[in-house]
Amino acid sequence: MSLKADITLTRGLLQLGIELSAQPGQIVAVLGPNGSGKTTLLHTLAGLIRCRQGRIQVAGALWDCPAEKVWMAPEHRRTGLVLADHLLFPHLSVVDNVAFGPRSRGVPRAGARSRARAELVALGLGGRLEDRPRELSSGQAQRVALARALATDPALLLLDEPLSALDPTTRAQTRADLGVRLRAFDGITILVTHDPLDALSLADQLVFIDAGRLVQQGTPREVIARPRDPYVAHVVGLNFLRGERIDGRQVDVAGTTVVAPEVPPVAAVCVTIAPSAVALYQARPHGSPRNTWPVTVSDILLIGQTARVSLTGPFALVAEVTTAAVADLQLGVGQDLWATVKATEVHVYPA
Amino acid sequence: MARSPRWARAGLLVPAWVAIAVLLVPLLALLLRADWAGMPAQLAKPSVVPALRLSLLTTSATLVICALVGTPLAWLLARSTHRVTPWLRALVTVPLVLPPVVGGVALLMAYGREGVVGSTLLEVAGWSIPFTPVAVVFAETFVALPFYVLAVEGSMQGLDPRYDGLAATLGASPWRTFRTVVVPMVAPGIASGAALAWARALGEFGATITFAGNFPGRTQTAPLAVYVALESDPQAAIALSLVMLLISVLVLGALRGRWLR
Repeated sequence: MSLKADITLTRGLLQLGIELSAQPGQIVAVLGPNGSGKTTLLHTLAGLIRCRQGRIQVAGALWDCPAEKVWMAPEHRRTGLVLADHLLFPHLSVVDNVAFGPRSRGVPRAGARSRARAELVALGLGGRLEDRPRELSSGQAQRVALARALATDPALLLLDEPLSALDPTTRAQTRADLGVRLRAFDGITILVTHDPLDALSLADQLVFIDAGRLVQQGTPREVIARPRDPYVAHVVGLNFLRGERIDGRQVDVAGTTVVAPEVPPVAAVCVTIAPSAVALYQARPHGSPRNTWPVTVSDILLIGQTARVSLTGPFALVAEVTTAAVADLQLGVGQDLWATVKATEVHVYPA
Repeated sequence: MARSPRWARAGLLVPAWVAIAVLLVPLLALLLRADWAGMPAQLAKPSVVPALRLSLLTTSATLVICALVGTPLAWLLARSTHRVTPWLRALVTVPLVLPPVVGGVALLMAYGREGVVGSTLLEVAGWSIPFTPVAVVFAETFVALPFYVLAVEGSMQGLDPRYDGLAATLGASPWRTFRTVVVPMVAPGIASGAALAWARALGEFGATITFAGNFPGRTQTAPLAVYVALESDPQAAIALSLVMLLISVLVLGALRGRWLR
């Protein structure tokens, strides 16, 4: 039941070239900026778009391989698709929406409806079976859409930003329901999202793509520890710098020396600094850590008790400080400050 | 906002009222000249009943044909991205602008006894289509089908194409998607297309008289009967006209909400 895909295609300005593999039961989150090819990748797996080159193999069956002139129509693939809009069929009841898949695959009416009922009960929708889609809340409709995709026992469950159209409260609850249901699902889930929380809380593999190319992949733990791309670092909330090794303790980042506890013996390195490790001062601190840089505030964003302060200086940084610190320093955009980072808070690894 | 003086708006109001008069005066005249008391007797006349019955039968057959072949055509036109599609769509609209008499001549050239298809049909099967009720249906379908296809295609283009893709991932073949997703979801568009096509078929005159002739009881539809009766029996013509006016108003009422706002 494993997935092995190697997809090359051109669509408008996008040049997609991605290799992807997954094992049964895995939840793979695909992240990337808008227009990076996430949805195109999903549609290609579903068979709504054809590869120009490469091959898609699922559970031993070849779905798409232009070189061997193999192409399986979407209705013959074992996929389930959920989009940001639920796209329930408005003329069918909830239970008939979910039974549509089994019915289309030749299951008799009674069997299809009982399967649909079981799927809906599992998602807490047992009381809405005969309702029309328009009578449901957005969160309920999205859960029905999930039930509809799962009712055909897909080998590949394709979720395209399934939570992005929901309001924040509904999103949290639906994310939790989705997590529970996905862990019981024994096929492969491909989850396209741009919300880091979706990816980190639901997925066990993360795949980052940008401009149609794979940028980084790994478990959430690996990716958080060692992002290799500014976008990845942004998603996991770290300051990310590229630099060159000077010696075992120092890295040259854009002409400025950054001191770390340890620098691996390779020329090109990545540097990450947690925003909470960046301290801000109005005057240059005395006897200070060796990582001290003059910076200018470019933006301040308050989130609860903390503030994310965007800084320009020798390189761009984000500092996370308490709202009390914002008041004490009387922070404002355009203000000149000093930023310090303890050497022990600087993490350096091969690029 | 202050209203402009009445004389300043006269430049718009006068032509607007003229337009309304152009449309309304003839219809009012029809109502004024009708012999309301004698109406039941007029409608029971032997020239009236068969014409109405034939019109009802042929327009119903036309509607069925439009739905059976026009709906799939509308769907293919709505979703095709092929480069011949725009040309095909233009072709479908030709009978819409063609003078109906020309349509009748064209039908004769195709299905007449000497016609391109008709001569073979006569030779092989012994069928002759012109001047039969079947010819009436041919003529009506020729003029009504474009109305149906264009109206239905318009509403199908408004259907979010992601529904097609989604139905496919659920295992639905293109035919099943068409039948169980597309048709139910564009049902209002199909209803208004059917109403338009039916009204057009009911009023068909030129192509019918050219291709099917004017034989009472066989190919004389209600509009042909009105035309013939006007010479000999004006009150019967008025009675038939009023029946068709009533039907048109009913069709318009069925389209209300879509076209009337």
